[in-house]
Amino acid sequence: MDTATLEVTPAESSSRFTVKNYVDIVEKQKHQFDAFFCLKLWRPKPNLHPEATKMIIEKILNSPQMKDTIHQFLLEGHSNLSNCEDVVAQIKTILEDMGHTYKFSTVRVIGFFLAKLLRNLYQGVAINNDGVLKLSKAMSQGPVLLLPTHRSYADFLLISYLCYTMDIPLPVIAAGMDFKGMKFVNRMLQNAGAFYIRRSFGHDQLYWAVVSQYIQYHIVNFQAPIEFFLEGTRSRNGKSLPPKTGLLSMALEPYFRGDVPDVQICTVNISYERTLEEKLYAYETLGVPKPRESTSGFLSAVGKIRGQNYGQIYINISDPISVRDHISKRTEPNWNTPSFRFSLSEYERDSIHCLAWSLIRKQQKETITPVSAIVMSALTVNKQLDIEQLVQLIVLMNSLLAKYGTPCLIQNESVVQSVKDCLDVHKLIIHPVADGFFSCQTALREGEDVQTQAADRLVLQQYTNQLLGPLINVAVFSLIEASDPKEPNNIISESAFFAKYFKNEFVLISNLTQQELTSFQENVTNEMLKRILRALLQPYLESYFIILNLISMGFSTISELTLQYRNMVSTVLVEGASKFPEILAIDKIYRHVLNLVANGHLRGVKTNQTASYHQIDDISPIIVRIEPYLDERLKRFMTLHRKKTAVMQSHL
Amino acid sequence: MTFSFEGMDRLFRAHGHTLHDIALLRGGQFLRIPDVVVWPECHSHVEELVALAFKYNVAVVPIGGGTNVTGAVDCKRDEQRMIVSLDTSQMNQILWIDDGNLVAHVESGIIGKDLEDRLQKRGYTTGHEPDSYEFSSLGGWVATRASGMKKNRYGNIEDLVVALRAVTPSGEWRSSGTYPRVSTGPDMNHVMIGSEGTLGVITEVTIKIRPIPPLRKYASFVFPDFDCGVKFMRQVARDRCQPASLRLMDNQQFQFGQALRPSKGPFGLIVDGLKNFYLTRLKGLDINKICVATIVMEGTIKEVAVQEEKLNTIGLEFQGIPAGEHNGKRGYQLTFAIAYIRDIGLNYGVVAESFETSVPWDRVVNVVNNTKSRLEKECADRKFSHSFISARVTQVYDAGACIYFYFAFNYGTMSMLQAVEVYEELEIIARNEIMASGGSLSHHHGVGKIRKKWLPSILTSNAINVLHSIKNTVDPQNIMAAGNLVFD
Repeated sequence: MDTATLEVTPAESSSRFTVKNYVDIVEKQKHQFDAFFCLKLWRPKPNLHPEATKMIIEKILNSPQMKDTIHQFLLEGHSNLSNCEDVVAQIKTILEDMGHTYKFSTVRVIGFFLAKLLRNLYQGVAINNDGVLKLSKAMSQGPVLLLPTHRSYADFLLISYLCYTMDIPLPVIAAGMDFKGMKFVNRMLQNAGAFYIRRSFGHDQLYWAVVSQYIQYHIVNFQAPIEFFLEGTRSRNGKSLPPKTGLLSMALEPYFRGDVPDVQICTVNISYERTLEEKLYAYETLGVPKPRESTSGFLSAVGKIRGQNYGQIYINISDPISVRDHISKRTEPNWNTPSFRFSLSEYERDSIHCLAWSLIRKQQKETITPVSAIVMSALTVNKQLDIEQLVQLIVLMNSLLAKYGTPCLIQNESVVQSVKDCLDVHKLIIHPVADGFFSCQTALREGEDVQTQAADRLVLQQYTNQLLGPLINVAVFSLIEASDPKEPNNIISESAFFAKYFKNEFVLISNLTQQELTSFQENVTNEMLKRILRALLQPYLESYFIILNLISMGFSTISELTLQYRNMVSTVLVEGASKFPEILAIDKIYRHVLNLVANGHLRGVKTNQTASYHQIDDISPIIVRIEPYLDERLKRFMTLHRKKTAVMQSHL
Repeated sequence: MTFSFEGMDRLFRAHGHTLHDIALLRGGQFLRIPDVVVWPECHSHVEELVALAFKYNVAVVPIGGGTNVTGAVDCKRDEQRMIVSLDTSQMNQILWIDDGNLVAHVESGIIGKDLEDRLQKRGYTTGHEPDSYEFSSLGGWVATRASGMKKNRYGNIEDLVVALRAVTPSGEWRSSGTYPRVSTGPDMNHVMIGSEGTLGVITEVTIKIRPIPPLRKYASFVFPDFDCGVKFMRQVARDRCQPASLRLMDNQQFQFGQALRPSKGPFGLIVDGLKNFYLTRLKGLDINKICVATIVMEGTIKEVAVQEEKLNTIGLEFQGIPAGEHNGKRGYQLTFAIAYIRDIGLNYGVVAESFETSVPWDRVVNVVNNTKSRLEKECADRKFSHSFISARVTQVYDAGACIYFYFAFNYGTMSMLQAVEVYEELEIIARNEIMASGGSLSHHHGVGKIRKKWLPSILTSNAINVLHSIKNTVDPQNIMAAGNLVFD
C-alpha cells in the first residue's frame, strides 16, 4: 500500500488517542472541505470494477452451479415455473433486485454527506492504524471477509467511510431486505456496494441458491471484501449475540470446494460512547415493534439527531485470521460429486459453527470498552458519585479490562476529561445532583408507568452490558464468591452451571479453569468492582428465575410465556419484589428457551405453525440451584404466587 | 544364472531415485539392503528362481531400471527373511517383431533407450517416452502404469500392452493371446499392470509398435497468463486435436527455463531484447505472468501441417502468440535435464523434487493455485530464504489433465538429511492440498511406499479386500515382498 496516502499519522493528529497507534479519522476532516474529501484521489487495490459489476448476472447464470440448479429445479417440477426461460427470468429478477450496482460517483456523493454527518454528530472516530495496514495487506493476498460488530445502523456506513478514507477497497455489504423499502436511499446504498437479502430463506431453494452463488462469485472473483454481520441483526443490548452461520458457510464454501486457496477473516469491533438508537432499542426489547425502514423515517431521524453530541466512536480492527489455519479441507476425494454439486460435510459444518463462535467471542473480547460503560455501571450501583470517585473507578476497572478484555482508550492524564465528556454526551440520562455529584437514578415519579421506567433502565443497561460482556466470567466469579465463600472446586463447578445455562446470553461465559480462578483471586480484589459486576448480573438471574418458574408452571409457547412473563414482572415490580425494572424486557425469553432445548430440558413441538416447548427433563433443579443467588423478596413473591396459582387450579 | 553377494551390487539395488534415496546415498545409511542380487536371463530362469524362493520362504524384490521415485524397491527394515533382488536387466531381447500386426514381443528387462534404438533400426517406434526412458525398463513401465510424453499419439502403457507374461509364486500368469480386444470378463492384464512388484515378476510383454513418423516438428505459444494457457489446452482437448505432446509451463518455469539458456554473444542479446520488446511493449504482456505452451507434432508432412493450422487457430482464440520451434524444442529437452539439476542442487544447499497429479478440467487452475499458495505459506512459515514452486500441465485427456509440480527451497543451515525430511513433510502437505482441491493421488509415478498411507482413504474397503484376495491367491506366503500398494 502506498504509505503516502496514509496521511493521518498519530503525530499529526491532535486528538487524545495517542495510545497504541490509534488515529482519529474524523479529526482531519474538521479542517478540510468536504468537497475535497469526496474528490480525493482514491486508488485501492484490488478494487471493484463498475464494468465487471454489470457482468455479474450473466456470469452467474452461465456458471455450472447455476445451470445445475436450474436443471434440478425443473426436474423437481415446481408449480408455476415449467420451462427453462421462466426460471432464468426468475433468477434474473432475484439478482437484479438483490445485487449491488457499484458506482464510483455515488460513493463520492455519499462520502460528502457522511463526512458532514460524522463531523456534526461525533467528537471523533478512533481507529487502530496497524489494524488498517494489516487489513489492506490481507486484501492484496486474496478474499477477505469483514465481520463488524452490529450495534447501530451507523456500523456499515462507518466501515465504508473508513475504507474510503484509508484507501482500502470498499466492501460489498449484505444488507437486510427491509432497506429495500426506503425509496431513493435503497438505490444509493446499492450504488455504494450494498446488496439485499431476505432475513430468512425458508424453503425457497432457488432463492437460497442464487444468494449463495452471488456471495461466492465475490469470493472467487475477489475484487472487494464482503461485509456482513455475524450476529445477523443489531444487538439491542450492547453485548454480542450468538452467531448466525448461514452467510459465513456460504462465503467459506469456495474455500472448502478448493476454488480459492484461503479466505481471510477480519473482525471489526466498533463501540460507541452513545448509540444513535438507544431509545428505540429499549422499546424494542420491551416488545414495541420496530418502525419500518422508510426514507421519510430516515430523514426525520437524521433531523432529530442532528446537532446532538454522540461522543466518540472506537473502531478496533483485529488481526486477520486465515481460515486455512483454522479448518483444514477434507482430504478424501468426493468421487461421485462434481464440483458444482458440492455440499459441506458434517465436519465442515461443525468447524464453521465453532469458527463463528470463536469469532463472536473475539469480537466481544476485542471491542474497546467505552468510558460510558464504566460510568453507567458505577452509577447504576451507587446512588450518586462525584467526578473524582468516577475517575478512580475507571482507572480500577480499566486495569481489570486490560487483563480480561479491552480497556477504554484513555491515558491516565486524560481520564478526568473523558469522564466530563461522557457526562456531557449522556446529559439526558446522567444529571448533576447537589455538590458536584452525579446520578442516573431518577426517583420514581408519581404516575409514571413501569414501562417508561423500564425503558430508562434498559437504555442504561445497553451501556452497562458493554462492561458485563467482556467481564462476565469475573462477574460470575464475584457472584459465586459472595454468595457463600466456597471451596475452589465448588466455585469451578458452580461456574460450569452458569456457563451452561447462560451460554446464549453471554458469549464469553465459560467454565472457570483452576488457572483462571487463581488469576481472579489474585487480581479481582477490589470490593467495589466486585459489587458493581455482581449487581449487573442480578437482573439476568431474576429474569431467568421467573422464566424457569413460568415454564415449570406449564406455559409452553413463546407467546404464552411472553404474555405471562410481562404480567408477572409487572406485578413483581409494582409489589417491589425486584429492584430492577429492566427485567421487563422480553428479549431473553426465546434465548433461554432455545438454551433449555439445547441442554435437553425442553423439546420443541410444531403444531399449526406455532411451536410449543414441553419439559422432557425436570427443570426444578435449575431453579433450586439459582435460588441462593437471588433476593429474598423475589423468592418469597414467587413462592406465594405459586401457592396462589395452585389453590386457584385446585378450585377449578 | 549369475548372482552376486558384492556390497556395491546390493547397495545399487537397494534404492530408487527419490530425493530421500539420493540424500541417503550421499550422506546417510541404508538400514536394510538386499542380501543377494540375481540376474535371470529368461522367463524360465525367473520361474525357477521364484519356485525356489517359494520353497525356502525367501523374499523377492524385482528391479528393472531402478528409476522409481516412490520407494518401490526399498527394502523393508523389519524383513526377517533373506531378500533376493531379482534384476531383470539380462532379459533384454526383442524376441520377435510382427510387421503385419505391428506388435513386438520383448523381454521385460530391456531399457527404453535400447528398445527404441533397436526398433528404429527396423523402422519402428513404441512412442512410449517417459522422462526416465534412457534408464527405465519395459517391465518397470508395466509394473507402475507408466505414462509417456507422447501419449496423445501413442497411448499410455496400458494402451500399448497387448499381452504379457509374468511369474507369480503360485505359477505363471499370462494373457490369453495377442488379441486386439476381448470381452471375457475383467481385463486380467490389469492385475499385473500397476502391481508394483507385489504379485509377480513380469517377464515378457507384447507391445504395440508404430512406423517411425516421417516428420517431427516443434512449436510453442506464449499466453498472457496461466488461465489463458489452460483454456487453450482445454479447447485442444475438447476438439481432440492434441499433438503428440502438448505441455504448458507456468510463469515460474518459463523464467527458470530462460535462466538456464546458454549465454549468447552481443548479437543474441540484441535479438532477445527485441523479442522482449515485442512481447511486453507491443503485445502488452506482463513478463511476470506469461506462460508458454510447448508442442511436439509427429506424422506425415500433411498431417503435421493440418495439425499446426488447427492449433494456431485455437491458440489465437485464447490470446496466444506463436513463439517458434526453438522454444518448443528447448521445453522438450528441459524435461530430461531437470532430474540432473535436482541432484546437482542438493550439493549447493537446494532441495528440489517434483510430484504429479491428475485433475478434472474444471479443477486444473484451482489445484495449481491452491497448491502453490499452500506451499508458499508453508515456506514463509518456515522462513526459507528462497523457495521455488512451479507447475506444468503435461498431459491432456478428454476429462482432465496431468499436472506436474516442481518444488525447491534453500535449506540454509539444516543438514541435507534434515532438509529432505522437511521436504517430505511439505510434500505430504502439498498432496493433501492437491487431493482436497480435487486432484488424484498419482497420475503416473505410482504408489510405492511413500503414498501407501492415502490408499485406505481413496479405495473402498471392497477394493482393498479384492486386492488382498488376489495377493492371497497368487502369493499366499508374501514371497513378492516389495511391500508396495496396500500390501505389507
